[in-house]
Amino acid sequence: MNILFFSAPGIYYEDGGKGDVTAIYLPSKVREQRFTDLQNPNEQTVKLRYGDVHDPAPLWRSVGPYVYAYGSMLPEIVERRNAHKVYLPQDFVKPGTSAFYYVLGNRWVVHGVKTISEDGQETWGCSRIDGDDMGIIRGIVSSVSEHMLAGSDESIVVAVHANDAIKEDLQKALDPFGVEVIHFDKLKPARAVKPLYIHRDYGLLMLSLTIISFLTLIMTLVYLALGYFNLEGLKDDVAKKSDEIRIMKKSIKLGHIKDPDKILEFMQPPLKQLPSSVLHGAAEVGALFGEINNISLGEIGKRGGKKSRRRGARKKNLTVNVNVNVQEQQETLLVNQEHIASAALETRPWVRSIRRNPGKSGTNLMVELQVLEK
Amino acid sequence: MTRSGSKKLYMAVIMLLLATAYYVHGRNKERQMEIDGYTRQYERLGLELKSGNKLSSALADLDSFTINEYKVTHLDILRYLSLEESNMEFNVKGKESRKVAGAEVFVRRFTLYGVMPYSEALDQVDWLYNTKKVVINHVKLAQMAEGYGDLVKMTIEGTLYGLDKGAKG
Repeated sequence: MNILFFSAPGIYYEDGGKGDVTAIYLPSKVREQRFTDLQNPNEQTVKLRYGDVHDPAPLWRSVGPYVYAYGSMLPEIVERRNAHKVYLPQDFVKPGTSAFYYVLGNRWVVHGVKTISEDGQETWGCSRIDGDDMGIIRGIVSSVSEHMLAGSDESIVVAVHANDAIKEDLQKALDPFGVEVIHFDKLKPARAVKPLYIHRDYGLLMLSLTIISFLTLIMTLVYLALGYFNLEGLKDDVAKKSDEIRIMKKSIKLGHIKDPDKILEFMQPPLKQLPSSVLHGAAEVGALFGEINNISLGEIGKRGGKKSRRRGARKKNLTVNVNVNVQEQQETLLVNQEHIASAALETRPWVRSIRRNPGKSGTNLMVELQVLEK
Repeated sequence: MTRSGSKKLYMAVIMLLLATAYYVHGRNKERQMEIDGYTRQYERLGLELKSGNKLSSALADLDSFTINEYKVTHLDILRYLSLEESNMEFNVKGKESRKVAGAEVFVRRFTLYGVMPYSEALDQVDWLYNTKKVVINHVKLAQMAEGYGDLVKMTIEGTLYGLDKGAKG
């Protein structure tokens, strides 16, 4: 525990350690004030009522309905960066203690005596004693012996801070009185005791905020750089695309034609199958009836001509009629031709119908085939 | 350094860093808007290129499937159909003009006649069909007189199309 001991005139003692500091303020009865009309006391409201406006933070505490102001902080302590908690000397002893002696270093003794008034109110009278090693020991021993003489149930606390030699000597001197000398570090203010003043070390918080701000800046810079590269890449891509479009437009032929698909559709051949497959499919059927004179695949390009949709046929299927002129075989009976036609229809599913139309130079067979439409 | 001094210094540094970060963030937003603009432009150009390529491809097809009406002759048509060295008869019956999709398309009916074996005749029909330069409307294969084996008289009637492609086409 780092200890600082001060009062209104200035700092008397500090052990010089780093880190959080527990400060002991020695109040002065002259400067102490009690306020009874502060409803919601805080540092600002107490400061308005106590001391000068230029004074640093007041040292105050609420006790029941009263607000006690003991003094003001020293500016040199307020400006220190490490955390400080300020207590009264009596805050370190347990209830029931009637006197205490805190030996701080080689020189200072903080002494407190509790007095109880007739109405039962406890008040502490605290003072500082300045002296050398032997003077301190003699003074404490003399004072303790007086207290012991005053009453056998006196509870006295003697604590030494940062001076083991004087602690040992003091312990030897106080052994006859049965008083134990302890390290000051063993004394802790009770949890219920509120410090008179507190300021925290914001260094770590500030450093953390600085690091976070720095990282935020770095992230935005990285994002900016990524955006820059992304933008440059996009600019290149747009330029490339524009070049491609320019080259494509330059290479376009027949640029005055706006809708070439419609013209291509207009020019589209009506059949998907090769014409030879349609011709030969019909010729094969015609050859069953006799020697073929001619085959004619007629006017397939005309809409509504000799192609027609069959009921029940698939959507993309059309029927194409092919005329096959065969030499009349006199000896062949019609019933035999019917048998041949039936066999042809059974074995060739793409043949939809065969119709016979006798003519002068032979028999015309109209063979209806199913083909795919474009 | 005193507590208030270090606090002021820290605050100044933090404010400076945050202000710079805020400024950079503003630049980032501007940059992001620029990126969005370029992205939209890139997508629009992509669509334009895609539709342009489709149009270009269709125009290229149209160019190869039509003759140039600006300088068409009988020999040009034969060359167009690769029949300039063929001994088959080729006759063009007439020419008519049709308006299709705002363009003037010239339509010619032609007849191709020749004598050849049956299989060769079928090959000839298919070859002509596969060029896609003409539309076959009518095909007739007729038997020759006795003694000609499998020779047939082939008559193909079809349509070919022309466009005015100008002097360069």
